[in-house]
Amino acid sequence: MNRLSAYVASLVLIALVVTPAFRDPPRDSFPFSDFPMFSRGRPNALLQITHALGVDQSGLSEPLPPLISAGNEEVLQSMLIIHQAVAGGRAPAFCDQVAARVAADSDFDAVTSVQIATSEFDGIVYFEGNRNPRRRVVQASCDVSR
Amino acid sequence: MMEWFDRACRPAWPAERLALVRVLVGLYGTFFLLIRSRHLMSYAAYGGADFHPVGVVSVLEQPLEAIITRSLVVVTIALSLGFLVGWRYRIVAPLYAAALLWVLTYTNSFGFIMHTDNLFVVYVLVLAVSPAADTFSWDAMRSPRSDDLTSRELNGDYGWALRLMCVVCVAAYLLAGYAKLKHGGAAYFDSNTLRNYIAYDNVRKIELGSIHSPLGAWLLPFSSVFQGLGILSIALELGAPLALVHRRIGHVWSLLVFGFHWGVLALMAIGFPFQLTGLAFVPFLAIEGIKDRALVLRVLRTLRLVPAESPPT
Repeated sequence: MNRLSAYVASLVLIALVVTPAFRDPPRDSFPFSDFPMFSRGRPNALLQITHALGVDQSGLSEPLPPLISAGNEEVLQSMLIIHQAVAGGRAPAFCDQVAARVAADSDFDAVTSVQIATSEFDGIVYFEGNRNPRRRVVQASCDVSR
Repeated sequence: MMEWFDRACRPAWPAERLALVRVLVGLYGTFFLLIRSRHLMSYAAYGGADFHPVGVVSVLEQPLEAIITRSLVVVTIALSLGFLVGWRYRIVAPLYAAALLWVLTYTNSFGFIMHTDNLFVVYVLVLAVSPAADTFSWDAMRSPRSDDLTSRELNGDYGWALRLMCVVCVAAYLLAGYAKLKHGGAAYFDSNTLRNYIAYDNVRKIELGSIHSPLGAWLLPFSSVFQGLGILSIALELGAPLALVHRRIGHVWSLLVFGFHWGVLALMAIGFPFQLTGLAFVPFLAIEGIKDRALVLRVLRTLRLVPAESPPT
């Protein structure tokens, strides 16, 4: 690559890297990002999350891991997939898909039903020992057929 | 003035340094793709309702056929081998860069954009258009150039690519710091913001059935720790351009940011693998010296990037 090409390529790449942050509104993309993660102030540790819960015969529930809840290894991708299913009005059908993955995995033999729920937690209180959600709305519930 | 600028942008660094960066980034890429292949292929199962294309994938209105998605992952793995060993580099390397960009952008096109692989992809893009296979490569082994290595060592083309990777790395951290100031003001300077983020993120992971950081949870009562860490992280991000001012500052900054990423892993269970391996900071280092280390020499010989018995230089 000659000198001029090198300078042009450098300018183009640096412009691509920098511009997402200066767009109005800033735009996240890949691989060029405005790096929005963890950038805003957070005056409290409240969070609302839509997740998939496995429920056993005694009624105890445990969150299901990403591969079971969304068929994806990435935890935050799984969160988005669950959220999109609920937001798109597909919660019952999505619940059935999760239940099918539960039924196919012997690690979850104790799980008898699945809930897709939106729960609200306080992160600080949670780690002080109270792991109960402040609120929980069950979006869909379905049995695991084996 | 122009001469100074040119020396700063295209320093006369050795061909071996750039080639070793290619080998290291190439090794990382091949292992990364092999380990992540199942995950990358899992996106073939998602339908149009989840599809929110970004970047180069924005040309699509619907997800690709599953067989195409899976095939592209396989092709990218194959191309990564050519990039690693420097085989028909001028053709294979740009193809690898394009395939890698596509495959990773595709996985980010289903609602959630991850930021863990940005620098890896950009480094591959830079390496792909640079003369990074002039040595330690099958191309160089097959047809060694007639000009001697010493003259090529003084060629600014090698330094240009390395310097550009350093600039891109610094820019990414600077933008992350800028985003925090822009969106959060002085929030990161108080004791609550980072602490709240760590509590929030760890609960989120537990409630999504994933692993979390017990250390981060254990430290929550000690709010002053988080104030210090918040200020340190902002300082490292906004101070990133200093890493370009002098080689030694670059080394210190790289080491601190390397430690910062291990801290993020320990406190939030968020892993940036390219940074955690240290490879994101390799362009800041004069790594050509490692070529004579037994392990490196063994790797270079195993990959047939140097003659079987003779030393590499």
